[in-house]
Amino acid sequence: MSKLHFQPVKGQAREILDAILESPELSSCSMNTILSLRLACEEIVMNVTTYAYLPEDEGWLDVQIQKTDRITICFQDGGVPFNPLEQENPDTEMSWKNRRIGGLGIFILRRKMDDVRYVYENNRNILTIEKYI
Amino acid sequence: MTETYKIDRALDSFNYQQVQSEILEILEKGSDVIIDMTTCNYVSSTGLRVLLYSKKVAAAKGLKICLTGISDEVKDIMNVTGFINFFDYA
Repeated sequence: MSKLHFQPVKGQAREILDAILESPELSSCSMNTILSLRLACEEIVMNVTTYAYLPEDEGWLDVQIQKTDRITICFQDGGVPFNPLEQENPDTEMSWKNRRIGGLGIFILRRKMDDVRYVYENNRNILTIEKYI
Repeated sequence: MTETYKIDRALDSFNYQQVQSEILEILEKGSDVIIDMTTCNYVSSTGLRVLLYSKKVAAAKGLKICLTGISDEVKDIMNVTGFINFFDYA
């Protein structure tokens, strides 16, 4: 199991994402699994590093990665409460003329993972994603 | 006039600004754009946003955006999001 701690998080998205992808749990997965996890992790890391904390807060992010018959990644941050599962899904049947720019990240995350769970506990956003391997 | 623009490796949160501004520059010149993705196997939601925005800007100018060399990985994400139908393919 890998336990990663990042502080500060502002402007560190690339470093954080690379550290997750380079963990032994992820780097030993198939290319397809890695690509799915990369999509999910990019969304989560960008959200935390961009929106979770107030400008004056440096912020932190804990990432715990486990590999069994699945990859389980648990993200914890102390930022503003944000439940990504409450986001509305985009209408994927809509034409390009009417589709709005954006709003796809969480949708892709949910489609690419086998399970996504969120709780807010002890002033922490706790987001867990799972992908069967 | 048609210009080819190549995206290498990835289109994501880390290079979208550069890719977006370079595609817009080509459109500004009044040229259609072929986006060559032969060596790009990763497009995130931020990348999809660039493709859709480029398409909208092109259409507003009466220009065309066309994709080529889409990998299976990129095709998959475009299928999942419904973006696959937004583009012409060369």
